[in-house]
Amino acid sequence: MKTRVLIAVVNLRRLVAGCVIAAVAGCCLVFRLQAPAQETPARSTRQERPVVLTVALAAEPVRLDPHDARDGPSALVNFHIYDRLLETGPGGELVPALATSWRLLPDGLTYVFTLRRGVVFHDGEPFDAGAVVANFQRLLAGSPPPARRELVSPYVDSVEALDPYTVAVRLTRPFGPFLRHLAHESLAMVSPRSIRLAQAGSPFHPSGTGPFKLSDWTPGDRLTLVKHEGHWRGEPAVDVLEFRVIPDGSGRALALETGAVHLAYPLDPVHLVRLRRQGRVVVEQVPGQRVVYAALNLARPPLDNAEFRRALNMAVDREAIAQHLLFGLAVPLDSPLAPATWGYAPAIRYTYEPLAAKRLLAAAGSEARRPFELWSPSSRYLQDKEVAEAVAAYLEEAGLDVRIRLFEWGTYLGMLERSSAWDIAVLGWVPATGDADMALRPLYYSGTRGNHSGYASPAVDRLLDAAAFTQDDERRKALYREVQSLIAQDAPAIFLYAMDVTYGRQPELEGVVVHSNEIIDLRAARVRLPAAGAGRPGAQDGTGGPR
Amino acid sequence: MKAGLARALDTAAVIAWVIVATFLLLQWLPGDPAELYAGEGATGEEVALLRERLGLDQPLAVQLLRHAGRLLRGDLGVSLRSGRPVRDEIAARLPVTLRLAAAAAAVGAAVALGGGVAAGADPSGRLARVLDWVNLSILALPVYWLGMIMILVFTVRLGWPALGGAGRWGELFLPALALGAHTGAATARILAASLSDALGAAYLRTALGKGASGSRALLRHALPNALIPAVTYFFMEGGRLLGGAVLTETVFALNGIGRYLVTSIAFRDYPAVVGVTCFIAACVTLSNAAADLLCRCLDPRARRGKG
Repeated sequence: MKTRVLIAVVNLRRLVAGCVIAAVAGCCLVFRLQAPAQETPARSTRQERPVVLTVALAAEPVRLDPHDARDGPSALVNFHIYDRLLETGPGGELVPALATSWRLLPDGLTYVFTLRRGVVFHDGEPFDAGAVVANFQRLLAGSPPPARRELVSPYVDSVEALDPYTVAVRLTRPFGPFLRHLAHESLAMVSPRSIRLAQAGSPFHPSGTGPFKLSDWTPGDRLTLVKHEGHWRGEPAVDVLEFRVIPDGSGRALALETGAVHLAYPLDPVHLVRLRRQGRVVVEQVPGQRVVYAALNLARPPLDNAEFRRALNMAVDREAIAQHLLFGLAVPLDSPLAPATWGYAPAIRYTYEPLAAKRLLAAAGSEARRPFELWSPSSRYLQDKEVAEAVAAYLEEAGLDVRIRLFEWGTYLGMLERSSAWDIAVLGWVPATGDADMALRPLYYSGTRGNHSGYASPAVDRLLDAAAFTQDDERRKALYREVQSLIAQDAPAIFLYAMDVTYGRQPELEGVVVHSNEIIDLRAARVRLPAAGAGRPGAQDGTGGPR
Repeated sequence: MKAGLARALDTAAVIAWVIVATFLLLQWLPGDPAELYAGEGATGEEVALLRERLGLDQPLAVQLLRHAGRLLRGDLGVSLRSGRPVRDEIAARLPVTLRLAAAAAAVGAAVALGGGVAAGADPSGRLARVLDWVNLSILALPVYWLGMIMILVFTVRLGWPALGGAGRWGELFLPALALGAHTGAATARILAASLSDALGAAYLRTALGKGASGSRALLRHALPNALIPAVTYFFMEGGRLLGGAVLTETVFALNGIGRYLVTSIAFRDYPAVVGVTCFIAACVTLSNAAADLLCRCLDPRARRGKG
């Protein structure tokens, strides 16, 4: 009886196999045919094809309102939609943008800006003194208060239009970094109409004077900008700037490798090394301003002892960490500041002296024998987990008993805020204005929120204030040199390294400028069309370039 | 009718419970959205201000009731992170997830039916052993790894479209294969087992005795019975597919519901997390209800009994 079933089964097996083969073949055919079919409308003559530049980012911009955005991706996108009164050049120098010139009046408080003429916002509103005043007023007293108002509101007293193209900004007290604050991406000029609408409670409409304007935004997937014809700098060389969100580091690297995007940022060190070795895409690194350090909890003995903290700094081989864990994408710190930050001066280079460190740590006696809690975020900074493990291993080598706890970023921030049960905490910081004040005040001024160590030095506070509230750049630099050596001497942290800004791009993408504050400037970018027939695998079926 | 009503109430209760649990668990998680958005350099005053703006300064019960009230009115709330309505955020990502789920379900069904029937019809045969081995291998491979290898082989080497983001059909082939193979392999094993059970059952002997041909006995008599556990399992999996295949979406850079959920949790975007979980709960319960319905069609006893 069973045999009859089996005979049928043999026939059936053929049937099933046939069906499966047919189905798979059908699927392949449909899928293969469908993809290029969707692209055909754009495939006309080469001249008509818009030049699309595609960028893969790790996270989506949060909002396209520069005054209200705090995250890196928003800063990067807003950088292309809006212009600022002035900008920082790649070398950190201030260069004119919407303001053609500026001067400080003899009172030391009033800056007078001469504005560029003939500039129009994307929505057609003219850019003039009235627009500048409207922007400052929003930052000073807008409702709801924009997130970035702290960059101006503590320092600016009043803003006045002297004539249609001249604006006077009066400060409450002389403030050295003020012009650098104005060059910050978030102090961009927004169309007065957008400001009026936002104040009236409607959703923010992104409209600036920048070389690109918003065209389309699919949340979580891609954001498309198109070129703004008649930009005062001249038209951009690419027609469309497309930002794609690929959160996974491997996915980003693969998208670059397969030609699906022109530029990927950031690149994880592991992939970066591999891509560099393969040599099919260009991988670049630029000295960055992000410092990574291990804050020490000064409230927990023996960490209240500066001698002990200095010994901790000597126990860690930051050179090896930078070279081997970060694959040379970082430089060991010899100051609380990254070398790319304005005001940097080398302070103390703690060299790796394991034996001396061990002796010094042992000198702290019984207090040093308790277990030390080392906390670190996981996947917040490049290789953070690995770095935390290395630091712990070095400290163990020096005779300490170290326990590592790793957290997801959101949890980590909450735990640091709430608990004081940690001894060593791995943290990073990038001063967005590129000025020493923004780099040091939030981390080392007594009582500030970012000062997790609980470091309080009256001398440092006094010097930081003196350096901030003067406009003499040479004097400021001298003061910062002093502050840096004081902080390095007190060692409220193990100063680890400064991260390079790293990204990968296709060889046909040119003119990319990378700023040390992690802005990728694509305003002057060009995409060379590949020679006919020499396209990369993914590059052949795109609308004017790789997809 | 009455059964349908009870079922609907059950579904509603499950969804309500999921919402409350999600909300409370999120609050229990360390990490404050205001702190996350304000950033590391913000002052305490700014954080407080932001907390007020996001409505996080209210007592927990008030927040929960407010949220529940909005949900009852069909309003999923506004994302803390982007400031856009959660409904729009989900709607923007839904097509990708739906298409991926549909494609993966198709792949899964084909694998399950083909593999299950072929292996189950002759459980001790060589084909069955090979299929069993293949199925187990598929199940043992993590989707994440499988996806990576597929990308390396098909996209990097052969230049097939993938990594679409927007999830066009052509770009969905590889992710659907990676995802569907898993569901299919698991279901195929269940189907094969229950089919080989059915082949030994008395009713099949009766059918053959009455002169039914082998294939008729297999397809008309044994298969419908054997399908019931497989269908139940498959639809449960289907609900999960709709709820977002997080890993698959991550590997293939697809902008779907699952990835959105993960990002939202990382940013403590409470309304978004509650909204998406609510949606996933609805998908899973509805998918289960659909499985019940289908089993009723397949099983004459269930049809006659409840009618």
